[in-house]
Amino acid sequence: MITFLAGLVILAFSLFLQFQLAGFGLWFNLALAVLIAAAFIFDFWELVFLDLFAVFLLNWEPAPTLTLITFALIPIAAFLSKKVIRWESWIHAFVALAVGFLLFYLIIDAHFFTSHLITFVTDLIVGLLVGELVFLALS
Amino acid sequence: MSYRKQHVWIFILASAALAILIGFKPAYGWRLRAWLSPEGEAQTTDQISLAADNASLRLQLTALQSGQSAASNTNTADGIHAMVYSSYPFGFKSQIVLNAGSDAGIQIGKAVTYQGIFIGTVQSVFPDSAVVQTIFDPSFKTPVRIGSQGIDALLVGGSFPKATSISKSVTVTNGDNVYTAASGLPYHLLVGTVAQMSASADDVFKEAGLNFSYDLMDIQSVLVER
Repeated sequence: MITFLAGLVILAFSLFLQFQLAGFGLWFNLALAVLIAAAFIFDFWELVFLDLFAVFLLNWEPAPTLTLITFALIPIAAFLSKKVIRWESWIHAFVALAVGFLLFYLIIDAHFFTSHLITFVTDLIVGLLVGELVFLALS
Repeated sequence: MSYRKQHVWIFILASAALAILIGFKPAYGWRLRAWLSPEGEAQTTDQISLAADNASLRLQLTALQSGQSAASNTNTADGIHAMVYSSYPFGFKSQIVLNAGSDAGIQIGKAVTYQGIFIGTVQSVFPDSAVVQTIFDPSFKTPVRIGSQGIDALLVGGSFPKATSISKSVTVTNGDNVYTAASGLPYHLLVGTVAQMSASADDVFKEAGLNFSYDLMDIQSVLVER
């Protein structure tokens, strides 16, 4: 239970930091990185709760959007990939973070991805660092 | 591990509660997020208001100099006042959500202003809320005019919106007003002022970086064209 509460606090802090940085025009998907890392730590329903908690705070309009559906499904897909692929957890988390961020950008706005490649690479590097740190801290 | 199996129903019920809140009462999430988001630190509300008033007066002066009726173009008395609920939380777009929708008479495509300054257009409408695409959205484009000569340009959105496709033969000076000139939008709404001129990437046109007298993150209420 302590691990779960620590995960919840880390997720809440990552969301807080993400909102604060966005205020300065710095867009990092810290919450997505934390959730993908959490997929390798927590049980399914614990992950679903964390996922919905993030969606609850990130949601910005009163209708389902592709952005938030994609955001919510990527950590679940990372969790399910554990059933199919048997790698060392930290390597699996690293690959899942990279693939998750790539999919997130491509599905939400492929044109943005191609025209803002530096933004993506920066976000990915920060996401990999944050995700791996969270994974190591919680595992 | 055993505690997890014992407490799985707690997580299922808590997840269901969150899903209901997300689906039926998203405003609770918006309020919580507003509490976590930064408040206007760089400028106070009074400072922003003064800057916006100043810009609006400059626009009226430009309109008078170019022989147009400032009163008719900056008339906002017939707009719909709305509060800003939340904004798009990722870097792909720039959207804000208002607390008024079709029930209040808001329609898709209408201009949205902040203290007389054009900030975007209504993109989608719900019964009690509306989504506004702002000029800071990378996909935002609209025709504009610059200065008292009414030089044609195309406003291209993004983190740093620019007035593009400006003929190389015209003279644009820093501080010139940039205002709306698109069909379907009120004419002569101030967008911003020219900050710096440069050549376009293909060197065929000139383009202007813009200054804005407000910070989008600080906007709490707007006026929507009726």
